Amino acid sequence: MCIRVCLLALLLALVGCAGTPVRGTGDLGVVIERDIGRVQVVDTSTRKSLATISGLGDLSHASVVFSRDGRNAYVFGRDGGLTKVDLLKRAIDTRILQAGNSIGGAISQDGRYVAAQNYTPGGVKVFDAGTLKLVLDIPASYGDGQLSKVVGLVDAPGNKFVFSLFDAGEIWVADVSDPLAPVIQKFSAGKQPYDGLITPDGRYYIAGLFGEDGLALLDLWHPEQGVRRILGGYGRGEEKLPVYKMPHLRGWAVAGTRAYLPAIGRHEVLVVDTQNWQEVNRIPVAGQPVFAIARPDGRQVWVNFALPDNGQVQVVDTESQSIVRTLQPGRAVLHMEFTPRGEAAWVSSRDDNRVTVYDTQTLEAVAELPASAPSGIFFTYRASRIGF
Amino acid sequence: MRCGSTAVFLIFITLQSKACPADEGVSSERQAELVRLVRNDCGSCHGLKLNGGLGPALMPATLAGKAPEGLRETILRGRVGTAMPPWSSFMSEAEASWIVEQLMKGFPDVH
Repeated sequence: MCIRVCLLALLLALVGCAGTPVRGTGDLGVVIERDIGRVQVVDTSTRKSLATISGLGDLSHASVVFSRDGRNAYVFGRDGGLTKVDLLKRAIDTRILQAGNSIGGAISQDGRYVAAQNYTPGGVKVFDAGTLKLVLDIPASYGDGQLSKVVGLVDAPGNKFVFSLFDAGEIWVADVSDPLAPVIQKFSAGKQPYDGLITPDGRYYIAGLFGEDGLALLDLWHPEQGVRRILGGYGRGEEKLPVYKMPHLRGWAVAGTRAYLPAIGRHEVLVVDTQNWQEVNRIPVAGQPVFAIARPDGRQVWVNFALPDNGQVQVVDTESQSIVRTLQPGRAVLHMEFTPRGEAAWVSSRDDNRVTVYDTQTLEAVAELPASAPSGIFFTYRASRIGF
Repeated sequence: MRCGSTAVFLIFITLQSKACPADEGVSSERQAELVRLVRNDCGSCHGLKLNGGLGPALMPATLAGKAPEGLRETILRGRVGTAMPPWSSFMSEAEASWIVEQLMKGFPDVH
């Protein structure tokens, strides 16, 4: 009798599990499988894939932000698709097509709004994070009513979104505290800002410039001071190499008081003092860097590269400012993501259809997961970080 | 020597450009590599589906009416003042012509 009751209870528990497992999401993440419109839900504790979810459209250049409870992933597709994926149910919660051509997004400080940055039509659209209903449309208009492509969208304290207008050469700060009455400030940035980042403390927004040397810096504590040019001299008088892939500033590296930035059109990582924004060093690397990402403790910076050097990842020791290891994770390394406290790094290799997990102390591969043309890897601890 | 034979080949291509499609000079294995290169690497600016991104769309409709020679030159030498880099170190002129031809009639998918 007792055994029967126990078995029944066990059965009910199992049935419950089959619907929505009772567990936290702090060690979960998403791997984008770009060519087939699919994502994998992965577990960074067991280093296993838990589920695949299909039907997300064109995921080339897809990026992800997480709801502040870490349960839902918002996946921004190139085709303008915005898909809310429930990591516990391992299923699509809501999906909309919000633009013709999109390049990523952000979530607001209070978690209520998700914003998408679009190439076509150029601008930013803000959605209710729960329902994905449109609450605000910000066309990136300039000149004679043209629309600019938008890049470098981040969240900022004060429930703001900050982004750059590639064609207009501007940085906009949109306060969406009241989305029915948004307050938008516009700043001249320089020629062709191609991406942007915000410092981990949410104070400085920096846009990389393709059309001229240097980067544009906006102090969000003192926007009245306008945009300041930093690293204006880098590359001056030297011929830049052709750029086969734009560097990504998001997911950039701040380690201690130094920032590590991919130099556009050169085989270098720039090291900048974040106290005064002066260049303090340049580290020669294997190719044109795409991502330079700091391990959470700041001791290492991992760098991947544009074509034709995209089969390598180099690990920089930030104390000695030198490369301590060159890894060969596979062909076409597109992205790297650290676990929340940085004991492991997951690296995607698009052309070898795999994700390799490295131990960041030994720098040895410790696991491998098959994936179809994997690109971005995104872990839920982004949910609690400014600018992610 | 190689340069000379390339030049002869190009003259051949130019003379035969209507009658002889460019793919006669590009092996099927190389074609597969080029498809992958265009979809993935050109795609990082022009979109995996080539419907545009930071760079313009490369669909048959958007390329219609443009001179194939001009498009080939843009691929090989890039375009000054824009983000378009030169791709001549990754492919020959015949291969660039093959890519242009495919783009104008609808680019194949990666198989």
